[in-house]
Amino acid sequence: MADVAKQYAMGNERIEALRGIDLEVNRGEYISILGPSGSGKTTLLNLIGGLDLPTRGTVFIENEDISKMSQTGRTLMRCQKIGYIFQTFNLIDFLSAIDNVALPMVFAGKSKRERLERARELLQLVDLGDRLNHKPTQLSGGQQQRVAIARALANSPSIILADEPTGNLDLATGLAMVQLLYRLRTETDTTVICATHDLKMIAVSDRIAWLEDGMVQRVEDRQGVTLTAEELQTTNQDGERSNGTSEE
Amino acid sequence: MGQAKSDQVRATTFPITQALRFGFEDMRARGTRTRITVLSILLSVTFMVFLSTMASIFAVMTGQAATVQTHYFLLEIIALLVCLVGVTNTMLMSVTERFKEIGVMKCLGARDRHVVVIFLFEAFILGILGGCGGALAGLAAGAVASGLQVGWALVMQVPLQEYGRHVATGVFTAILLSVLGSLYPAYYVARLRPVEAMRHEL
Repeated sequence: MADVAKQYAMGNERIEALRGIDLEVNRGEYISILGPSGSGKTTLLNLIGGLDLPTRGTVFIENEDISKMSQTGRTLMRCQKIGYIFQTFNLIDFLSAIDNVALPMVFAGKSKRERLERARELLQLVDLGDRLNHKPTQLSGGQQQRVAIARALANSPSIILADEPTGNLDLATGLAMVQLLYRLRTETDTTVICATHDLKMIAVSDRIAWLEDGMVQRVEDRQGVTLTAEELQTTNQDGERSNGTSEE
Repeated sequence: MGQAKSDQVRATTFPITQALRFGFEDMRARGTRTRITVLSILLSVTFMVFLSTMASIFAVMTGQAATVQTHYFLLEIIALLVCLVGVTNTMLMSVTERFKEIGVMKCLGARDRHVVVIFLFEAFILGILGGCGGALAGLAAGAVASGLQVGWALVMQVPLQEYGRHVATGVFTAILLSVLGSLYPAYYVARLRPVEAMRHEL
């Protein structure tokens, strides 16, 4: 696999949710996409994950243009290369924690023993080894999100897309989640692309892409950002090493 | 790339045991919803089997099987239509209610056919439950109603196979209708793009 594994340039003219974005993400990188609501964060993630197709422009994942893939190809890609974490967890209510984690592996055609073994391992990894058979409704928000993280990792994806993973959690739980994501990222060498307006997420990011009105305003290294609210307003520092650029 | 290819082939089948289990788990989790669905299938089938049972008994009574049967045949067609509409409607609701869940599954890499299979199996189970219950209830109701009207002796005169046939037809109809009824919504939603399915609020 190439070092620069993913790059995309895309646009979406319909509702102008995204107005031409160029962004390149390296393998194993943790990049946060920050921006106010409505800036197109979710749309961007959906496009990266092949959940939706760009109106113009292309998305490359590991040098493959996903808009040129067949429907089935995209589904397989989602299954094998991408893990999702949602703001609202989106666990399947009628399945236990372990079955939720095992679900993506069912779609990937793994054997039952493989599935359960891996699901158990993953749940232990997110410190839920004692909650294997609990239903989502019997778990707290933070625990549900950890199940969701474990589920995202099920098929050892190369990319994890997280859409406001801390949005529905309180501060402490959210922070724990961020740290967990960071730890797992390091352990599994996974690229994490995280949309958020949560400044906590910055602390663990390698780079931060600021999104506004469907455009990337700037991309910064973490070092270039300090965690103050004023920093949000001032644009004094553009990332020196920024690979991405904003454009019309 | 041979690796990817073999993955692709394996990924196309959704294990039947898993589909059955999903069906059961979901039905258990949505107890009320399931009971209502089963009840609606059950009632339609009851109506149908009730009519055919009565028809058999009256045919024995009058001895003029042919004319009476055409009369009841029309009624049965109406019963069947009622059943079809009822079951389709319930299955449609039960599927549309779960758009979001389907969207999530698709995000996780569910193929279209996986989604369809999950729903068809659930419909199948619902059909069996509603069908068996409805057929037996219809049979009992039909026998009792005509027994009170024309005497129990006549009820006994109808051959057992004929009753068995009515029950079998009822169960079969229930399964068929419930699968047919959910085929369209399942197929429709399976083909949605994941975002569309997830965004779908009802």
